[in-house]
Amino acid sequence: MDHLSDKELQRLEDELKGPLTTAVRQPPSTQETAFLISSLQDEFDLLKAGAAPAKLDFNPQVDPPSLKQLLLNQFRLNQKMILLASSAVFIMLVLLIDPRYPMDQLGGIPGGIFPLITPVLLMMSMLFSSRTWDRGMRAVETITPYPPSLVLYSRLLSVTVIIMSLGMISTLVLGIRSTYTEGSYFLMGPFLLEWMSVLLLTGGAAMYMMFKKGIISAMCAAVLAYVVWIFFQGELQYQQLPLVMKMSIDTVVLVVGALLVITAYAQSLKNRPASRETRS
Amino acid sequence: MISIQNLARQAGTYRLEVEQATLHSGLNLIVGSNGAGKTTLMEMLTTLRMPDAGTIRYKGRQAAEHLPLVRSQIGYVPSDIELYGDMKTEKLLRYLAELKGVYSGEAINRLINDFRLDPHRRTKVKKLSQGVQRRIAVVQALLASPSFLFLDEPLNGMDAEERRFLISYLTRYAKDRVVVVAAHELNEWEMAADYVIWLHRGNIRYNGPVRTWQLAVPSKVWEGEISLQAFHQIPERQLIHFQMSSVGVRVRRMGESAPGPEYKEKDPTLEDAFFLHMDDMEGERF
Repeated sequence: MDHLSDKELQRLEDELKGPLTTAVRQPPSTQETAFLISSLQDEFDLLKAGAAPAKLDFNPQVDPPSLKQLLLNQFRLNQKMILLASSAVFIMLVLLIDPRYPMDQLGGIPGGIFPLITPVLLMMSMLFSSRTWDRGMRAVETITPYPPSLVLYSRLLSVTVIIMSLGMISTLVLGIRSTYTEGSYFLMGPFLLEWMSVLLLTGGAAMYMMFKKGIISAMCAAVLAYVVWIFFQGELQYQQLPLVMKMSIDTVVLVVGALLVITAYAQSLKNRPASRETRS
Repeated sequence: MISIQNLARQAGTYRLEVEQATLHSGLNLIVGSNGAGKTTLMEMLTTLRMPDAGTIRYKGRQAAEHLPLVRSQIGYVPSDIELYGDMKTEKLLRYLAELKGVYSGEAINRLINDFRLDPHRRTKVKKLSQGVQRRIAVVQALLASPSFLFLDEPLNGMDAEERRFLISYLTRYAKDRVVVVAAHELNEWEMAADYVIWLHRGNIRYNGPVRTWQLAVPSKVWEGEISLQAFHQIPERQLIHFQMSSVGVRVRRMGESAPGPEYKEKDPTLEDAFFLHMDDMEGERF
């Protein structure tokens, strides 16, 4: 039986040999294979994309970095302490100044008492608000989606804004007192310009250096700017410059200070993530 | 998932070196004796310190290239954190939430309820017990529901109930997220831990499932009740645990074979496994 089946199979194979030879296609050429692969490439890419693990996205619970929100946040953190300390100093300043001669120098030191005290207050507040001394808290405050430089910038800027606002209020109070004081000689514009220019210069120098070398260098830069300003004021006083000239110089100092603040902000933006892009 | 490749960092007198390691979704327990490099590894994983060499990838993203993105997904509870004591609980959490970019109060309220901090909302942090302060420290790390949560000795200062609650909370949180805990009290994490990263003198000696680590112990664990005289004859390094009983001493010890008929072999706990592996590593085999 088996022998018979083998014979039948052999016969069948012989009969089909001719037709099968013509039916079998030639294997595809290299060019045909390349064409097939290239035509399927899109499908491969889709499969690959599906197989690749999804990459980490920006946390959807977290809002994109915003300087305004950061400023408010930092203001809330430091508001009570800095507001209290600054208010006390400014009240003292206002009371110390004789409303008849508000722009008089203090013990021969160039500049009035205001431009001398406000930068010192600013530097102390900056140092106080810059970082916590606790290592654990510092670690927690460091791990934020904000660029670290932007957080520091917002801290310094919030402090500067607080001091500046209080300074303006105090100047206004001083102006009102002078108005009601007989024989008073008070020019609010030059007075405001003088202390604001040195305040912005020291604050700007600190903020600018903060991104270059850190808080210690920032404080050194602020102190240096302050000392140079005092020295410069002494020279101006010695030369008995007219008021317009003095105001022009103060304006230049103010602009330099403002430019430093803006440059520092630009520096902080450099490390800022393109939040929308990284979210996708 | 976090993958580590050829990581190196000099930390004081020792050098942390990790050739390759993976931290999976689930609860990863970092174990090691003091000075093994747990905190250094933790600080690099949290992006607080950058490695001297090597890479850490968080679901494919490197911290050095995508720092704010990676940090938006990281929560960290340091071992020694002194919260701002003059701030009230809710205000402190709000401040930290905003610093993390979370402006909705919903997350704060939910976590305050979950961690039973409601009675302490308007209490200054410095007036709260250590356990409550520790709970606040944990809550701040959870504010943004991060994908990667790191806790360094989170149970410090907590009472038994707080410990049980936190472990159970983290077990649930670790589903689909990477939770990394550095701990000394290993047995408390026995039921919760999914993976172990065992650090020894700046190197990862084991990185894998807990059960495999427990089964791979180089010796066996025996437990039995013996006389005081027999107890005094046990070499100190073989002793894992003992407790005085009415008839003698209940002893838990290591040994390759049964030390006596009164002993029964026991499954090694996490702490047993740690002792046994350490003992093997130190070359003090018996």
